[in-house]
Amino acid sequence: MRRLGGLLEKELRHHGALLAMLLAFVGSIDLVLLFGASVGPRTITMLEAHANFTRVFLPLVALALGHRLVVREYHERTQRFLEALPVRRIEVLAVKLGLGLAVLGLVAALSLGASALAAATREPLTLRWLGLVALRTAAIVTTLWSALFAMGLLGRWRVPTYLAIGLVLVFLDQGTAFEVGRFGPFGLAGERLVLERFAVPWEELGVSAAIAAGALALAITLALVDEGSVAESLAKPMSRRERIAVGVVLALALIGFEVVEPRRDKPVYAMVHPQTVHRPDARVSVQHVDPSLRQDAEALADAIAGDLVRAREALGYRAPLGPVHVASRPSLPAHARESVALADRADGVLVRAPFGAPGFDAAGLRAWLLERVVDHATEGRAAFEPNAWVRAGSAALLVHERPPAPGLAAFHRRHRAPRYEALARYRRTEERFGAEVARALAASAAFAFVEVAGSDAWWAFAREVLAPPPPGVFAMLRPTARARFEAAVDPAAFDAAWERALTAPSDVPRARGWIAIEPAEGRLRAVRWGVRFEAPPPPGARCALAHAELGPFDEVLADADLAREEVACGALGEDGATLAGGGYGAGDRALFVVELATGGAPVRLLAERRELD
Amino acid sequence: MTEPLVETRGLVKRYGKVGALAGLDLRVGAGEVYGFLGRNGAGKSTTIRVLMGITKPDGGLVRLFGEAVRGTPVHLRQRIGYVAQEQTFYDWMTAGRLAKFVSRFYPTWDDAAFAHHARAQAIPLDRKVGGFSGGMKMKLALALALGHRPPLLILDEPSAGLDPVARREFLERVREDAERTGRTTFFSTHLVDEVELVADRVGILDEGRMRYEGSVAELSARVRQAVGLVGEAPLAPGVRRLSDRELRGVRRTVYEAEHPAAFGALGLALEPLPLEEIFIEMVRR
Amino acid sequence: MRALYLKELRSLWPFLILTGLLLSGDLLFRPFTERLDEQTWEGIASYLRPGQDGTFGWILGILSVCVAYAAFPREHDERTIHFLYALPIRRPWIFVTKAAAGLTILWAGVGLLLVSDAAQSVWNSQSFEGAHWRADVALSHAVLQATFCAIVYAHGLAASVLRRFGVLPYALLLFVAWIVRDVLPPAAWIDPSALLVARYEGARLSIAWGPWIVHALVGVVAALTAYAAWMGPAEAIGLGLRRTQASLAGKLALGCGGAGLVVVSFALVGIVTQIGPPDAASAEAPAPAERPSRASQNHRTARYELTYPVSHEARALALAADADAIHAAIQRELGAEPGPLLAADLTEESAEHRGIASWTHLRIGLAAEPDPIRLRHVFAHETAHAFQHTISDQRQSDAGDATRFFAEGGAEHLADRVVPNEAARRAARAVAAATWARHGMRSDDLLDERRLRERFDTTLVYSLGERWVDALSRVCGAGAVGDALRAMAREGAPRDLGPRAFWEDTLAAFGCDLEAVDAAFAAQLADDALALADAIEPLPRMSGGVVGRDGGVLLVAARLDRDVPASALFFVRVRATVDAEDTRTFSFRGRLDPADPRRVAFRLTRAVLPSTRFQLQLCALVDERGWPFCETWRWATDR
Repeated sequence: MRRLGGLLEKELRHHGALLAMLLAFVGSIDLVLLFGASVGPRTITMLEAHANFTRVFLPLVALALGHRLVVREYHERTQRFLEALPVRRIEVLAVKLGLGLAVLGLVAALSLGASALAAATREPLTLRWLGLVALRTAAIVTTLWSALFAMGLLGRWRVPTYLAIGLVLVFLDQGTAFEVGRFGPFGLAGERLVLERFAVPWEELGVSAAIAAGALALAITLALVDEGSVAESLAKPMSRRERIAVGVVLALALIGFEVVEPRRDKPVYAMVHPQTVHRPDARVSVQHVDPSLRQDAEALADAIAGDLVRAREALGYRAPLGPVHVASRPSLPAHARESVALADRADGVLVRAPFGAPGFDAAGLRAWLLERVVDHATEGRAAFEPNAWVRAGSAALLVHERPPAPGLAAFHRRHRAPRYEALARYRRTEERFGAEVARALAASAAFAFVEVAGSDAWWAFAREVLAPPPPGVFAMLRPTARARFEAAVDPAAFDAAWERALTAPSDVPRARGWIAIEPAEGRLRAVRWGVRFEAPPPPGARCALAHAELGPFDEVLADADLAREEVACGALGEDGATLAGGGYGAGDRALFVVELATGGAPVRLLAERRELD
Repeated sequence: MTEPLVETRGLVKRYGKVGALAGLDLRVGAGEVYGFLGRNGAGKSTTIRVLMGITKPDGGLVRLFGEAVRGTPVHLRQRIGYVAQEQTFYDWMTAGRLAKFVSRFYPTWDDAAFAHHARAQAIPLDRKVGGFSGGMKMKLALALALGHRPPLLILDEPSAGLDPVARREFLERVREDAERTGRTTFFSTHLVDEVELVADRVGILDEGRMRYEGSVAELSARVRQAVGLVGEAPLAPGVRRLSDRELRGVRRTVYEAEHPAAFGALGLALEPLPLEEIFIEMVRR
Repeated sequence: MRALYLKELRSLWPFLILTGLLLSGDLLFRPFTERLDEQTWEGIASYLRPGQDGTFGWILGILSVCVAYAAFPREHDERTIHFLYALPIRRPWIFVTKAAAGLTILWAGVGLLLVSDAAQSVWNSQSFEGAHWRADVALSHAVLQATFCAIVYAHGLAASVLRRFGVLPYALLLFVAWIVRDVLPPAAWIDPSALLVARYEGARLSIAWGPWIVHALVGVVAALTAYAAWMGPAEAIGLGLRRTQASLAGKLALGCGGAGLVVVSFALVGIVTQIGPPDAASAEAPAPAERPSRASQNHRTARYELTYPVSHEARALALAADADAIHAAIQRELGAEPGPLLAADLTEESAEHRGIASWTHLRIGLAAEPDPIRLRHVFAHETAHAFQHTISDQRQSDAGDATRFFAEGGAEHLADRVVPNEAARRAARAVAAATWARHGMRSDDLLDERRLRERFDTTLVYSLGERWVDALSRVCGAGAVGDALRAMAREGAPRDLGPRAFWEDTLAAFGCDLEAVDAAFAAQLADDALALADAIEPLPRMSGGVVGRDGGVLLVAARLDRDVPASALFFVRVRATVDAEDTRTFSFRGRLDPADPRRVAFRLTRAVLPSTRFQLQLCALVDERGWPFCETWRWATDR
């Protein structure tokens, strides 16, 4: 025992002054935390000061202790002097371990004591509650000190090991079902550290004890094996080559995080509502909820199933298309449809539509749904702008006998001569004239193509454009849709056929939308808009101003991103209406769209991206 | 030779591929001053570290105080005074504080003995060890080793790094202490004159094996040299030729014989060699 | 000179590789995992995105300091500097060359970043996203980054004089600056990494010249200090430091210095938090009627351990009498076990909220709620939260953004059933229906709190949340709320799911379908819009924004599209970026213009605004019992 006394006295004499200063510093930090907790608006119990101390400062104190008691001893080779003395190496280790544990335990006890005293003045403390907090804190202190003690013996490989453990824990937490926040010591120091007043966390205590034991075993092995030469060789400073190697490995690990997709064991999406029509073999399910819509759902499901089969054959996809889920959404207007992004590819496509409602266009939904299915089959490549019109055209050909919504296509013809440019720059066309007009235009082009070059030529052309893409950059190496188009059909003959297809009169009333930006108060600008009709608008026609703030970069804006203010066109009158919600000032960039809806989908009379000066 | 205090038989130790000791046999009698002579890297420090139990041997037998041991247990280390080749004290301790710390590990510690040795070597007990010179640290190490009146004193190349005067004083103090207390002293060195000055018996270590072990006198009697020989150097039973060189026009042929009487059979005029020459002839490749 | 420069570059080449890997490392994997012709420029170069959080600044900053430490101290500590001094070169040039070599490495890294991001973004030929690359914006970002590197490199040079001991004070300074930036946004520019937060006016990058000039000056001063130190006493300082570090007194001094700095910085942050500007709740909620007394008393009931201020004993004991009944009613609604005893602390004074709950702890402002019905409603709300935590084994709070609407909406729903308050319910449902219709919201906006917070008012989690939970109960059965909580806690439930996938999985676990619930929810809101038309009518649409400046005050005005009752309250909320916490959102009350009943004026103290470019939201509280109706968040400029 005299030997242990001697060793302890040496440690205390060597580190005594610094340990005292450490306690003083820790005490002052604890006071700051107590002050923070007492004034904090979201503090629920004063013990939270102890919780914050345990989570943030206790590890820092343990790190400092580990450095002072373990790393320095080997670093300065005074270990050799102890070897020569008649004392067992395990005794030297035991003294350092015990001293560190005692100091850390004292620090934690002081923190808990101070917080408990402060809490006692404000809330009812029970012995069981305090006992639980003390038990958790003690387990955290033991595990923390054992682990850092073992790390201290790793010498120059200490820091890379910390980084490696950190990266592994993060990777496990995000990539697998393992949850760091509820594991062992992390679970103990979690939200319930100071809030759990009754249950004892046996599982976390067990895991923490196991970790502590493992760490001690590692420490003993490192210190004792081969007469401690292992620990001594680790204590040498890191060579330049080793430092660079660690840096490169760390950088590659960080990049690895970017690339590796964490695996999630999420079940595949399925509609579980009893009122759902399933066509398992065609992988189609239509949920109608309202029993009176069962017939509509059955008809729609069968039609969609047929579409999928024909689309797969026409486009030559090996894998079956879908799965496709359609959910009834009666609150939507008749022409409206919503597409929902599902978590995994395996979940398939989910859309919402008010099928069964008066004025609902089933064929239009099926064509639009086919576009979503082709997007899904090509991992989104079909939505790439140059390919977008081919997707819309193919869907129209599969569902309709004649070009759908000729009136909308003719509406576009009223403003633009039919050029391939309008199809290639599909997003511009969508923004200027509206999504439905763009789809009608693409459909008319497809039918014109078939009229000129025949159906087989179209599907050969579509099969190349809408084929599932190779991975990454290799997808870009394929020739564009335009190059294939010019090879597949004679442009002059196509233009003529397309022109003929667009001669049908458009049922869209002749009207011009206008927007005026007028100075309002100070830097504010009032937005006045209106629609001038050549003939009085049909009853029930709705006019709307859709607008959205633009950032510095021109993104594609979906309909859902636009704020909309709708009025009856008749009420607009000559001086139009003023924007009521939101507000723009000088220097703002915004997209303004004037829409006209006569029963069906709205068409866009005007669409401008302007910077208000 | 009385009952050996320290004995090794067939001692083997390897560091990876390097064979430090290859079957060393060593015997140190009680009360002897034993000089353990060898070139740098011959395995002297390894032998001492094995005797102190700091390093475990890979083979062979070690007997200390008549007890066969595998790694020197604590109760035997308490009876050994050890001065390492390189002192790694706690710089932040004063010499006195260091003594107080070391005293806790030796039941036989005697403050008076330590104070005597410290005073004799003029060691400032109140100054920090960090500020001591190499020589002063060595003296402190000796005082600490003798402070618990150990029956066996082991010194690992004690005079390395001392100036000639300090070295001589150090060796005389070791010699005087051995004679006064009859303490067995085992010290390693690569300087032959130290052995001549202090040692009763000498062991020459060469490539991990004992090349010669015996008294100094017997050593010098075993080797003779013939100067200015002409023609083939004659041989005789029981005699071995160590070397036959010509240096600045003078040819020297050196012979070694187990028993000095065998030299007569050579029929040559033989001269003795200084101990340094003998050592060089024995260990030079 | 050139030889020395090349020698310095050769010794720093590992940092060039590290810089290259950290800044342009995406070149290694992006081309093989993504289709570059569909990637936007700011999708690749994260530093371009408006208002991002400045993490990029930290990466560049740390790199610059590392290069500074690599360029200088080692040569002095390994004494090779004497070899250089022996060469026929004038000493100042040694300092300049070494500094230049370090800067070259950093600027090469920035250049590599500019080129690698541009190279990856030119493939996009689409009509909108293909036109994002603009040379002026790219170059201005590169220049800002290069200047930032130079400034922090100068800091690093100065800190490196003190070797290791230079790191702690510098790190602490940055830590305090980072805390101040979070706590007091107007002073955000103190943190150098905030300089790199991209802000735009229209399509042009807006540069805050003031802070840049200040930081540049600080950088120059740091560089000169470093020059003076390295030319002069750098040797002595290094030796002195090593000696002080060896001596005990030195250790104590350094230790205490470091510790003192940490404590002071924390205390500073603590104080600054308290004197910060008025936060959202205090400006919006009417001031509490009375303040509770300091002295408190405990009271035990069957299910609660209550602590109440002595000054409101009568109100507390009256509440205590109903407490167990409320507890039992909620337990019945959820079909749950009684669960552990709840600790209810009624001494809350903060106007930030009417009550909070954490695990089995509640904290409620008894003094702030004179109306007994509303007090019991809040008490039931917080008790419901406690049940949510215990039944879901905290999985509900773990799911973060996906469950906030369900937590608050569920608690409101249960509180309504246990403590009916028809008037408040009607007002809340009117605001919910009006906001849903006017802003064309979709159920996916509610499911993910991050999407909700991006454009809409966060208090919608209460009003819209309650309607969603109501729809859930109607579609999936009265016990659906309890079933959902139990489904979250079930063994083997998949973790780390996105909001939508989380709710699909959780509802499917007890045979309930998310789409059916969303459909019922949307239908219910459409019905509410008709049924509550008279309650929705008085809620005005507000159009407005920054009008101009009046000295230290920013003038904001809003035009109403209808007349409002005199009791209506108006306020404008201000925040720095989309992901600013609720506690970092400031509110300012407006006043109806006596001359024009359709105009509301606000006066924002400019010193409090987070930066020249910030977000604001106009809100109107017409019925004090309900929630405010707010327009969407918009960007505004303090000009």
